[in-house]
Amino acid sequence: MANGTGNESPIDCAVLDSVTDGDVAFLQELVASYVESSRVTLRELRTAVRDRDSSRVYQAAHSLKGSSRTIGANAVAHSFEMVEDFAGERNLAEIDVLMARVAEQYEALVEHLHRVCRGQKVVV
Amino acid sequence: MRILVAEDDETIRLILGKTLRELHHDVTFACDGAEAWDIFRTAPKHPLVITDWMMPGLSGLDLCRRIRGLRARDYTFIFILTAMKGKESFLEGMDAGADDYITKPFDRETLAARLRVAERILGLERRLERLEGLLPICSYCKRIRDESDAWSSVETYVAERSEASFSHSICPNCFENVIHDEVEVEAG
Repeated sequence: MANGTGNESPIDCAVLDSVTDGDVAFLQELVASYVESSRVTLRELRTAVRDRDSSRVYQAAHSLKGSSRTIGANAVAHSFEMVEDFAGERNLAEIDVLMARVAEQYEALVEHLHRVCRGQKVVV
Repeated sequence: MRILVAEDDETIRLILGKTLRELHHDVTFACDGAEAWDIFRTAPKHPLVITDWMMPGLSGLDLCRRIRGLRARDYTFIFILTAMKGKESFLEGMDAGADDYITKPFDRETLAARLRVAERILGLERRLERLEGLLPICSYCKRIRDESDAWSSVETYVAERSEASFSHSICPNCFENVIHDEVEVEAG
């Protein structure tokens, strides 16, 4: 189970399995959709952080939290939730610190999802 | 059941679409609140709406308020789908006119169960509307047409839809016009 400490698996495979129900074609469609849309929203998040716009930061982080958690990407979802919470408090300084970790977790997740799609055995 | 889903996140639309179609529902998607509002007003009736809370432009709460503001004759059951936390968010959603609340990530079995409850409530609502409204009754035999177009007697129709039971007696008019005459005939 993800706890946001940075040592956990990028994805909870039980959640992803329950969502896709073993349908490989749907898994690939889902991963492609998630990666494409989350990249766009992550870019919006970075721009909003750069613009010091807490409201847009909150919206982007909230959206990324929801979609990430829905596919079982709990670790990155937890980080997006922290960004969301800090944005709600207009604490952009903490978000600046968090963003590097978010980017690292997100890229690890995307790599992991692509491996899952290629059918490679994933060691957790 | 015809379901209108308002969700701006493509990934969640995909998952919801798969889940709802597997549950044999007929799903229409809107990518935001404004599109959902347009579809709701112009397309054939959707008795059930599932809406994300936070969407650009028209939010899920605004969509709820607009649907309730229509004061339509047919009831619309509304689910708010959200990753928002806390009791305040729940209460705000309900105050806006939502009937139920689903948190992301949603669980397939829980969603299916809640949809069954929604169908039951919508069915009861339709029956209540029919009881409160005009009942199609045969001019000759006085039987009533029900929701499935079957005809039944007034007693059967009312007994099946309420807690009323019937005690059979004779009103003064019928006593005078029917029974009194029959007694006189018998008496010769």
